[in-house]
Amino acid sequence: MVFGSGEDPHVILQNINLDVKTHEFLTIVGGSGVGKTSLLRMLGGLTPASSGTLTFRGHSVNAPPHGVVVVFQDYVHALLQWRTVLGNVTLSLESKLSGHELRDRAMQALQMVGLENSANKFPWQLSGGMQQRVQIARALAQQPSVLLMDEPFGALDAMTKAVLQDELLRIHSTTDTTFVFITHDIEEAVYLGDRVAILDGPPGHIKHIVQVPIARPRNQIQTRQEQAFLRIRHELHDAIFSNTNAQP
Amino acid sequence: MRDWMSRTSHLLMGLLPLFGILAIWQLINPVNSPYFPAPDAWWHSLVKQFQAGQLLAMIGNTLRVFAISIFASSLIGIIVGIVIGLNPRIAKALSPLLEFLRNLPPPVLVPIAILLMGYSKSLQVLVVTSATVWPIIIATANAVKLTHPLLRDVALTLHLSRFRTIRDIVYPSALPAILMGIKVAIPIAIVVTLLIEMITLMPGIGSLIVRAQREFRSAEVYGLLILVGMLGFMLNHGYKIIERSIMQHWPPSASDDFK
Amino acid sequence: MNMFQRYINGINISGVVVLGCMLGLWETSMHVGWLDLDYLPLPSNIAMAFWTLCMSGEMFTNTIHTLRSVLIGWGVATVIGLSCGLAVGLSSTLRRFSWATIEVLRPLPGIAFLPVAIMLFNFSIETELAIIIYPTVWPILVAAMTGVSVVHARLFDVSKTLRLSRYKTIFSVILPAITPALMTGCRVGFSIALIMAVIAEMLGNPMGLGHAIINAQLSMQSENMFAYVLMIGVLGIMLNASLMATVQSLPFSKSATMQSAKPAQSNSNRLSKGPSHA
Repeated sequence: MVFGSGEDPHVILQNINLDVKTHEFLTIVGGSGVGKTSLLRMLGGLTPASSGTLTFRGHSVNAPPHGVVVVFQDYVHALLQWRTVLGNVTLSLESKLSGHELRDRAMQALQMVGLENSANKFPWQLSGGMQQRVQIARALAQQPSVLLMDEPFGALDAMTKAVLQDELLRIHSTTDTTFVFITHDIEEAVYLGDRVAILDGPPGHIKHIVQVPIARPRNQIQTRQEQAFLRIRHELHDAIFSNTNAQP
Repeated sequence: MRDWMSRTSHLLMGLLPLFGILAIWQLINPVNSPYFPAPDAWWHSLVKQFQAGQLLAMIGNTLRVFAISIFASSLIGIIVGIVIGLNPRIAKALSPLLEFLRNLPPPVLVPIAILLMGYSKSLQVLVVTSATVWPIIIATANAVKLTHPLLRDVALTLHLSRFRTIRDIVYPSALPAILMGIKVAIPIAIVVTLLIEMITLMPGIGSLIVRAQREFRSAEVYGLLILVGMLGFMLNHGYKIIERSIMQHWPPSASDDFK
Repeated sequence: MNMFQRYINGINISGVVVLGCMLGLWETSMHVGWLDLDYLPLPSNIAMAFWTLCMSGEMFTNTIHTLRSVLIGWGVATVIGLSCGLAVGLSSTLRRFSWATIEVLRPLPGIAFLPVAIMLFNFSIETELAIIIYPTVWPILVAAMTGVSVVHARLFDVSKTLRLSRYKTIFSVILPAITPALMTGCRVGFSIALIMAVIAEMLGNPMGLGHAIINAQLSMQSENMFAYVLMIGVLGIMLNASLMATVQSLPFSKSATMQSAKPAQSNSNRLSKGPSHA
């Protein structure tokens, strides 16, 4: 998918020229207020671009395109707290499937995130990390081509983050889903991504894109100690902080 | 066991003033005072009425009107509330009308209905429903309007149809507020039901009390007053139990969001 | 944008148009014969009846009677409700010995007392006031009671540290803190007072707007009846609006609304935007 765009009336994003490759894991890094969420919402078809073109598989995006699902940071309000975990995952499928098929697909998605034993619990009975996994499972149940994630681990503690990061990488390697992952955490961006784009602003623009040539599968301890990792991290850090006022 | 005992004693302590007044009244009662008959006279009059066979039927009438009206006004209120909540332009266009009607004291609707419809069976249900529908409409519309924006995004990104968005996301998320709106409607329903019976003397508890008052049967008036009190208490309390059982799926603090 | 422009923008044009259309439809469909209910009057006739009643002074007398009853009844109820509510809220002993009584007496519909009041006071202003006061007390009492229980414990500590007298504690610390809850209770009490006044006037005291409506209904004067209905509706709206305005102008209402006296938010399920960095 391809696009370039700007937004009005306060220009939130400008001169975005981004080409997301199929099955890549693209991470987007930036500080608060640069427009990361706006960018993701545009990609997800939730907010229209005021100028420029945004295409997905050759069609322009005016509304949430089929095959693209967004996972939000605020899992408390993105989940239906009054439905069970299973009920949340089946939500998007109920119009297409029913009965055993519905249940099986949902349980499959829950197994991918390791929550098959919590199917009958309610989200508010689960920890933050588990709730976020439910949201991911809900998205995966749709078997999407693209998963857009808006700082999904931003509100979680470091240990849960690490576990979920690895889970995402596993899902990425076992399915052919394309991931676009937004974060303010540079290390996370490098650890997860095939490419890292730096978003700077306001108005938000892509300052720099870096390739991450580190091999997969990756490891929380070893990968983070590799030369390439440290070099890229350094590079990103400099790129972001080259205007001394930019603070994450 | 101990827990039950402490709860009962807590209850009895709380009821002390009530029992106290009743006890004092009973004791100092000058024999057969026409205005302040003793509590035991109230009880006897109720028993007599019950034995005469009327009481249960009358209670049944009142409760029937109440129940049908609450059901109807909930249904109408929720549907209209959802439509208004989802369409800010309709909400704006209807708002002067709604403001006037919601501020109109419900009793006022009774003489209007009597004049326009005459004394008929459906009069009661129609009037009580029109009196109680407003708090439900308003509570529903407000809650729908305030549906969390993220939930709307979720509906979009999961490609839910409009109908399913309303049924599976908008309506359940508004449910805590809707239940509160119905809770407000219940006492209004009780009052208006009794009012109609008192004015038109159509059979029900209201007509019983008015007849007793006109014929100076004071013990009966007090007795029926207590009866109404008990019914009111049971209806309100019963609703709280229903509300709690519906809301058991919700996170514990959900009902606080909609004060 | 100056005041005039803001005022114009504030007028709900579509609302007014809809209202106008509905009245127009009512009027024309009756002239044409589509709408033909016995005793349903033309809006134009209602307007005329309203005018006539105003000119004859009846509208005024009746409105004043109802207004006075509501204000007096509500005032008395506020005093009773506030004092009892504060007392019960502040004293756990009192609370222990009265909470169940309150829970039992509260849902008793005021209208059920009407025959009792008529028996004791006959058809008089006392009956009307009694019926108004009883149900109006409860929302105010409960608001004061729960308002006190929610007042932050720290405020009590502050008053102790400053060695404030009991009097000062109540007036300078507690009252401002419970004002938001109290205001809601008073507003609810107000609409209850109006409802009960109308009920009392319909059945218990043959004066005021309630009585005028029932009278008009019995004598089949539907234009007059609707005129009075309109007056009551307008009265209700105006009373609500003036109550809101008085609340806003109170000296401590601003600071009270700033410290929303909500109990501490519970647990990890409360997520506001942003990562949880300690």
